[in-house]
Amino acid sequence: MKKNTVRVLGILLIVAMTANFIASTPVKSQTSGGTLILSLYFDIDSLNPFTMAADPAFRVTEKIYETLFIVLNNGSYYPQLAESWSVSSDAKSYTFNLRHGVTWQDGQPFTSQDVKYTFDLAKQNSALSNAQLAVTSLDSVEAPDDYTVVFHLSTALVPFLMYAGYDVKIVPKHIWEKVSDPAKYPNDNPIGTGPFMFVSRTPGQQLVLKAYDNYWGGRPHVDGLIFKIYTNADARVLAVLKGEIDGAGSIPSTSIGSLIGQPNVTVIKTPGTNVNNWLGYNLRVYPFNVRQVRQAIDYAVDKDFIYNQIEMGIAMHGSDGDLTPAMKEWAHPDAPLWKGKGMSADQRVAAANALLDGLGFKAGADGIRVTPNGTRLEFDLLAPASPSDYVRCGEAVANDLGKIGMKINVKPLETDTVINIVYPSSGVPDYEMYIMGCGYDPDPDASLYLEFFSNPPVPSWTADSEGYGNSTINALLIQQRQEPDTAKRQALMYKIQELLADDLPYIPLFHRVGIAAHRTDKFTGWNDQEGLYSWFTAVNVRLIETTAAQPQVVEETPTWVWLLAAVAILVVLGSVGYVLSLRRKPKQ
Amino acid sequence: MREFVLKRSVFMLITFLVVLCLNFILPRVMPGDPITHLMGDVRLPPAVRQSLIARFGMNKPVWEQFLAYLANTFRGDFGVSFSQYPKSVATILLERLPWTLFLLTTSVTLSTLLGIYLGVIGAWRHGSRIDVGIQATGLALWSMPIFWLGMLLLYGLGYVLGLFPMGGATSAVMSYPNTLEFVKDVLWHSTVPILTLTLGSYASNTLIMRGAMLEVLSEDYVLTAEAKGLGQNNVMWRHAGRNAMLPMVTVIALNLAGVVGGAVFTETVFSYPGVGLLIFNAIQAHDYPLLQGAFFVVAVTTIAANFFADLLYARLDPRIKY
Repeated sequence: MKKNTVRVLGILLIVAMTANFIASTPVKSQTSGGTLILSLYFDIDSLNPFTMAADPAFRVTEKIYETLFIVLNNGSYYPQLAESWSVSSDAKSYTFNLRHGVTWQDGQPFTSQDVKYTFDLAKQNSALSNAQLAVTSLDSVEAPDDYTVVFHLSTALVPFLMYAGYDVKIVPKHIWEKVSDPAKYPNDNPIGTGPFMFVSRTPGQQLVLKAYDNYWGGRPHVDGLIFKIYTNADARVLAVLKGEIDGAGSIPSTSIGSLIGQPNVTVIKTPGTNVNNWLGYNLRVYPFNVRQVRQAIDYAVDKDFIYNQIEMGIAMHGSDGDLTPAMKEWAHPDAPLWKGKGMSADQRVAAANALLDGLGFKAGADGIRVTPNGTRLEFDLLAPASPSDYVRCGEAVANDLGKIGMKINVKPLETDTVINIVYPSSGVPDYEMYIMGCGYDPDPDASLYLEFFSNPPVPSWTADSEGYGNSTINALLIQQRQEPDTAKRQALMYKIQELLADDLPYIPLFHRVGIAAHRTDKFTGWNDQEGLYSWFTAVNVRLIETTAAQPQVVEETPTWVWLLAAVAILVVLGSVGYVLSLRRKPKQ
Repeated sequence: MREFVLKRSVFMLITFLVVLCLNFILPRVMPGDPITHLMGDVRLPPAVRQSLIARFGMNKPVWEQFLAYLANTFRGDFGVSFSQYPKSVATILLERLPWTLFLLTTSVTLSTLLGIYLGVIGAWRHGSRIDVGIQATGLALWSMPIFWLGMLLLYGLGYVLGLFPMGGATSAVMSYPNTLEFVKDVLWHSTVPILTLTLGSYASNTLIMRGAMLEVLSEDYVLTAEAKGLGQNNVMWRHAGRNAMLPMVTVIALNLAGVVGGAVFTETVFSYPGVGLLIFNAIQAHDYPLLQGAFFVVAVTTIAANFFADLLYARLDPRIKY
């Protein structure tokens, strides 16, 4: 009896659901402008522009908040909230002329008071981490009129222009002055001046933005912009291929083969403007403090192999000057700098061996060299586990250095663990060799000064960690920060790079290039030069006319799926019914 | 019976307290700290580092942090997440928990039912090709790494056949016209993840059920029931199956214990916003409050599930004396 009841109920359920499926209509959520869908590779941590740290958070807030200008991939500065700017001859005063007619997304007018407020706030509150680089040298900010802002510095700092203009997102004074603790403010409904406004956020899944009608640059063509989170790189690639999303970034080099040549898909490679991925060593450990040893390592490590086989040609060849060719204004004319450039692998190994032989490091019975004072050239190399090419580079390095009589033990560790060992918050760093990567602001000061300048109290990552100090380079680094003449600053940069290529505080293995892909059959107006997530793409992208008549934003649920679900539910109900019926005593 | 319940309750409380302490110690045993993770690539002046340390309460001595942690847990205050500052841990967990519970309770239920069904059939026809087939398929699916199984299903069903989406719990839409559309969308997105979890785990249930069933089939009363002329289904399910089900109660309890955190790989493959992925990210970020909160939920679920399994088992099996 009970079984039959269950069966009947199940059938009724199927009938009811089938009737519903036939009657249901697919979800239509799109208006004439269309909704652009881009991927994020993990969830944001917060929408607070001052304290957010996750990379995806920057991509999203860049659409809502703006800076004084943006830096293009060719290095030039493109006006945003500031139309023009000037620097005093002593590089201590910076004047920005702000754009007229800009309004906040809640309708209030944007004025110099907002800029002054933002910088004052960051200066008072050291917990607002993202703005600190700009305000550490800042003395005061004044706003002589509604559309002019003047920054005063105590000492000349040429890169301040970029730090102030590009690093700090301007927030509305009329909202933030009411916030009691800006560092703790979750900023769940951000109001900015940017082309898109915040609509909603579903944690772990997506963020929804909509076009801001009164944007100073003209309302974006698309009505909405959705960032959908795909944590799995392969799923992201498949989603683009399938048309489920319009564009995806953070594509690993191993997936590029499935994208190239696909119809209606364009693959973009964006070289990181200022990025470095290097092999480093602890200069307190003998014999890394001997320059010829570092030079020998530099010869022996096969950067061609790393470039071709590990990065598959999708990276920039490591330059010992530490600035990539993407830094067009500043990179050395001979970049990538490498003493081994143009030499064959055998020639380089011979050169390296010659250097080590010249130091009197003789190979022992096992082929590993021993220094005259008895130190065996066997070292541990810490490699961050992600991204995965770091460990492979470590293995390549071990292989290469084995040819010159050094034994390297690759130790893959979690990235944070490596960071903690190499850059401990206290105590003397205790390690031998490591691999690390970092991206910086698009000014050479942001990488060279911060990594190699060796005098406290400025915390320097590489110089402090490795125990590196070169007084000539230090002097030049100070000089370049204070040199307002671009030609002279450039000459200083070239000299610094030459010195770095000779002294080798670390050895860049490659410079990462980002891979992204987008579809071309639904939207046009993509700016491939600046990238998927750039301002240019956001304001220019629009529907292609022919597809505007066929809205297809949401994936529709096919009817047969429902029949399958109904069958599954029936099975479950039937089984539950069986199980329940077992409770009854069997008939005798 | 009351004494039994009391004894079990006390034991449960003690376990719970021990787990609470471990919850605090274990995340801090990991090398690294949350501040380094947050600082990431950004060069920060020492003042910022100090303010971060103060913000996380890490400038207080450890025992003080521990007592604060205990006091707050009993008050239900799990604190504020480090990696998603200033969101409270409770909010984060509550946002993600329903997705995980939905995914995992569904797949655990399906997996258990499938396991019971196949186990009974397999034992009844033990040695036959059906039995061997059931076991072989089950073991093959079980031994595959679950993220690989997930990827295969995602690629095959989602991309090649184009029947299912590439990930997420919902579609990228501005809004839904009504709740039914939302429910349909959610079900559509969760089909392949649930399929993955079910297929990857039913084999263990099958084997346990089959083993228990084989033991029961050799009992005298089964022979008696057959001799009486009862139908095959009747004997198989009502007589043998019912008694062989007892070990499954324990198995179900164990499976339920893994409900909260047990789908990290699947959640990653399908970009499903569940607690498993949250825990994984929290470990990387050394987000102690979030880890403490998540482990607390896992501990409560596990202990409660086991407790009820104990009670249920005692109730179902009249042979057990307490």
